[in-house]
Amino acid sequence: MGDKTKGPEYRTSLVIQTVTRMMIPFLLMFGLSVMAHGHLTPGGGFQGGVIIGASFILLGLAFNKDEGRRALPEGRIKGLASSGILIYIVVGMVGIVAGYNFLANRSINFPPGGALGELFSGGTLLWINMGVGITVSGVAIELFYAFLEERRDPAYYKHKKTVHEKRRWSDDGVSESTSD
Amino acid sequence: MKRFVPVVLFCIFGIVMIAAVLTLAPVGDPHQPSYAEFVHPEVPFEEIVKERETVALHYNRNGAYDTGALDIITAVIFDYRGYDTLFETTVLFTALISVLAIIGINKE
Repeated sequence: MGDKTKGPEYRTSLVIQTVTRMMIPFLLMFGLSVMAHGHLTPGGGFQGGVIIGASFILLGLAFNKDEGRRALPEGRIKGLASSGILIYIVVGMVGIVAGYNFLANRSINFPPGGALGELFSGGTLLWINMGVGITVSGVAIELFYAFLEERRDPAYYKHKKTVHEKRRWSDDGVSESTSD
Repeated sequence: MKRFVPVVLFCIFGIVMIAAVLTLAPVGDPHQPSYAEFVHPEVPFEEIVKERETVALHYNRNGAYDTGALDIITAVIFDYRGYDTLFETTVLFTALISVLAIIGINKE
């Protein structure tokens, strides 16, 4: 055993790891498909984003959290979560630039859509769905890893350490009077 | 006197609020757009359609034309209620920021 302070090493079976490695590309494609066809089929940005987030959470569960962090670093997840809302607002601003309301859709005809039922028929709905999906996937991934790691202010650990040391001293009987 | 002024202001505010409540549409009136979800069984369907376009009927008929989306749910929440969804997404993002502010601090 290696470092005793980190506890036993987290390890899953080879079956889970192999199946996860096979599943993740399909999960990502399925999430993208749900996001892109939000205006044609049931689903949309929220559902597709959660599917994409679940694929990265699965990566962190099947291997370990460092593997998941390496696949998508923390700064990039925060950037994704922020840029989704930015996409939404920018797409809304296109309506103002074109001379209509904020978040105008049908009147600006952007992008010039096809017939009803085609991929680009929804106008701005496609890009809005994508933006929402990016934000939701980033939030889901980062919430999972934040709760998994649970870093805190180092002052918190220092406080905990001193309390622990005091208790051990009194257990040894060296200084029983320091109990607070 | 100092105690009297807030009481008067509160009474005026209460009267305004009660007056606003009294001007609300009667519950279940099918001609009001906001009560389109509920249609009284005694009111014939033709009369509702003839009198006024209610919200639900409008969405069902013109949703595909107004938004270009086949899925009526996406048409409502991303187009007709676009502001709502924008700030819904912002609430999600704010939740992430709050969690990171509490347990995600990495000061070394």
